[in-house]
Amino acid sequence: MRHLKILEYALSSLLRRRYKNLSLVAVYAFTIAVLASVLFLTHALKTEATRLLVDAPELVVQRVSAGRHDLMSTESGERIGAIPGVAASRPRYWGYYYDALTEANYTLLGVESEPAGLEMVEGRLPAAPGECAIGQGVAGIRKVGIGDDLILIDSDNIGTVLEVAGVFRSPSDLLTNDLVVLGRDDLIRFFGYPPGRATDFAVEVYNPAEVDTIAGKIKRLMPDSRPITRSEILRTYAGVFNWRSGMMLTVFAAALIAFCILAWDKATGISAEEKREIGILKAIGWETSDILELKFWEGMAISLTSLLLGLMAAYLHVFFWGATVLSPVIKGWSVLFPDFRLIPFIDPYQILVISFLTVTPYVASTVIPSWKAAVTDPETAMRG
Amino acid sequence: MILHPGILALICGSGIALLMLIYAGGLGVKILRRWDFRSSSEEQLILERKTYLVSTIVSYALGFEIFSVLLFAFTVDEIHSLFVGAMCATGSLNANPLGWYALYAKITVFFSAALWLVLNYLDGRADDFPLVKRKFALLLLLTPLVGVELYLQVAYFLGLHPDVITSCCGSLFSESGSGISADLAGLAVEPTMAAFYGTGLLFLGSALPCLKRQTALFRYLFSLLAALFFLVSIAAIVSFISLYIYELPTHHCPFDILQKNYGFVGYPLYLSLFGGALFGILPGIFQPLKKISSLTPEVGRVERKWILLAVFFTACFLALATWPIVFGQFRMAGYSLNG
Amino acid sequence: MDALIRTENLSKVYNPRRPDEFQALADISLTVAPGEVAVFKGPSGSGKTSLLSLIGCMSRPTAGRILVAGKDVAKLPERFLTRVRRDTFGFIFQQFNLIRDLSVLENVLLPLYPLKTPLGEMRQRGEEALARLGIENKVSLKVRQLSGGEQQRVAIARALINDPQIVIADEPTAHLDSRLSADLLDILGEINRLGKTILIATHDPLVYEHSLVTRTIAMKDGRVEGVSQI
Repeated sequence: MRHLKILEYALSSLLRRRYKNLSLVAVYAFTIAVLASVLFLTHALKTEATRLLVDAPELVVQRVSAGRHDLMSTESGERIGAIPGVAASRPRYWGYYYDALTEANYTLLGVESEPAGLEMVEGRLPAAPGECAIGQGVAGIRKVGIGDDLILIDSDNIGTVLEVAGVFRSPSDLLTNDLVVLGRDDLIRFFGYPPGRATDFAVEVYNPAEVDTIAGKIKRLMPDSRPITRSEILRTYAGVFNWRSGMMLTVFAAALIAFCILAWDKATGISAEEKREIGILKAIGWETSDILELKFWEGMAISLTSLLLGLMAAYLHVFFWGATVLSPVIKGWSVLFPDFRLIPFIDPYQILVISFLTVTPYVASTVIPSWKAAVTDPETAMRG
Repeated sequence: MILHPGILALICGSGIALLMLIYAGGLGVKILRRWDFRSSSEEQLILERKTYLVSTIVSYALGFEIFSVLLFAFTVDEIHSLFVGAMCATGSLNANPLGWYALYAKITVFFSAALWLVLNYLDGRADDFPLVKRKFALLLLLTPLVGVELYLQVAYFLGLHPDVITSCCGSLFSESGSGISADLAGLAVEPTMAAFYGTGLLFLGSALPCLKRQTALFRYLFSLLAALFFLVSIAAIVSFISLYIYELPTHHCPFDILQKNYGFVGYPLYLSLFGGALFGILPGIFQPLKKISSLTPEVGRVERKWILLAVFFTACFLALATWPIVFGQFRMAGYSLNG
Repeated sequence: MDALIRTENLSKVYNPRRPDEFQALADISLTVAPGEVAVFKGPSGSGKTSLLSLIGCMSRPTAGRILVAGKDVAKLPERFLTRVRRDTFGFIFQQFNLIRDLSVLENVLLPLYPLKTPLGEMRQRGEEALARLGIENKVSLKVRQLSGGEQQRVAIARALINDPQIVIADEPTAHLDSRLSADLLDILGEINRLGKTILIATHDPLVYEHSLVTRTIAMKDGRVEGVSQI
């Protein structure tokens, strides 16, 4: 009961000095909004990556030669297919293409590799030589649509003309934005692959729990191979995003420290009016511990209000306005910027982390000024 | 190093807490040397005022430390996906051998901090600061403990190297997460169950004489049983409670129950266990303080609340642990387990 | 009758061992009986406020003893001092010391906030106190909207909310005209009739020559010049 009464007084006291406290809350909430934006964005991207990898192959096997990726023979693929537990082993044909015209990188994919999880916006996948299907990012940047021609320059500096048969729209644009799907033979010809070679193999296993075992078998069978599981990819994504978000947070630590200095200053610069008020309270019977509790509730009210406002602002910023300020750093620099909508998602863990990151320093910087106020001599009230 | 936001929060927070404790400790030393309650000199007045400062600073720092146990558990669970083969917090803790020590240190700090805060609270209720010297002396012991905890956390997190594709040569084997100790996991179920429920009911029962009479012995007994039950419960969670929650006779991990797919049931389970243990040991530990005349009424009054809280939390814990056993579909009858 | 308040060789030095050291009180020994209305009269600077401050447990003396209801409060630690002050004394300050942006009722209830009194009972007591002083209709007005006389009544209500044994008033008529001063003294008389002991510091003859005064203590330069019993 007593605590509630002191809380009530604390709130009324804050409202009585509303301009000073509003400015504090504004800065505090802004700092929290920035930190929270970083965390929300990272988390949403991680979730997004997980989602889109659902349709990725369980296991991809590549070959490593002299420490670099090299083509695999189709015969290796057949050996993989013969391993017990392997349901299928499909060759994939794909590569990167640098388009000097737009200074963008595209991913070229042979259609037989059956890209899964793709919906067409218009048209169809390439069915005949000389046709292609492209992602929306490519369509936009090259300003081509269905029926138009897409010209790519191959390794002999000869242009290849492909007619656009369809444009992709994937549930997640991260996957297809920069994609150009063409016929397998077109791709082999374009990149100049020697016969009997594939880029890598997509392996399906009967029992997903066995994927690591099978990867190990493949490694033993072919020591120069590099099996990559889907979970490894996820881990890498998670690791990169974590690193980037951590980096940004460290940068923003400077902002947080600046805020704490402000908080300290505000708290120490206790106005004469406020000092008089505390003197009166002490004179009429409030103990030092009561004043300390009063200051505690004031701090809590400011922290929680700022936390709530900051979280709401971050939520709006990331999920409604596309995190315009932060995306470049988190997503990485690329010319083809997929314009995908992040799925709003918050979990209690993030809120816990944000609270710890922001409330703790604030409390630490206001402890001593609060105490100084609380030990005001009651006699000052007598002196007037 | 993993620049993970949760890890940053933990390390920065612990760092700030340690700094606050060191500062408070410095003040505490000054206070200890010149403290003379009976003197009414100007200096004593200043010292009394300073004790408020120290108490406030330490309370905030320790408050953080107590909540950070939760943050630590959450974080360690959250980063498990970064480690090959790790399926829960156990995997994360195994990734760097210091992980377990960091966890033990955190739990020790949790209990120590809680005890100090209760001591501080009692000191504040008496009129003559009877516990000042004890409090600050204990603070000087608590501070290095927090320092060790911070060191272990930093060393643990710094020593974590998440396996990524680029660093991994393609072979994916690593240790898979296993129970804390094969011995605990291998404990035969029936006797452990008997020990668990037996100790639990004995502990709850020992609350009655404590509430009816003021005898010191009952309180010591109560607290002893609280500590005993805590240890038995940890063993029980690994040995059989987890099995019923996972509905799997071989899954002993005590950390998976913290995850979403089990409804986060681990959190209320552990919170009620720790809560019950904490409030359970308080009456026994603070019993000697009743000898201080200014504290006797206060300790007697607040002791009742502790006993009731201990009973409440322990009852919740027992209910949570028993629910899947009684209402779950999993049955262990006839299944022999040998670790 | 046993003295309610007794001081023995009381001294107070401000800023000791510093350049601005100042001796406010020297060797004060006096008593006040229960139910008395004692006036401390003297020019400003004579130490009246300092003395009341010491008796009222607002500060500690440099030397000497103060016994309030038999208890030596001179050596009490701050926490004790606050309790004694809260339970035994009610203060009416020279400057009123009300919080201007709070309402009348809130001001009156301030001493009760850190206590265990439930909100409902608090309100009741506050309204009763204000009714006794005739300003119950101003309950929700902000203090700054009140006149000087009304503000003083609020200050008195606040001083009485804890039902103290002793009421201390420091220059209560300083900001009042003669009519309001007379009103004030009537109120103080009523409070005295309820059994409360009243200590007043003043240099206003209207006060120290009033009929309700039972003891006058004349002070000058920090010392007691004379005590007269009426």
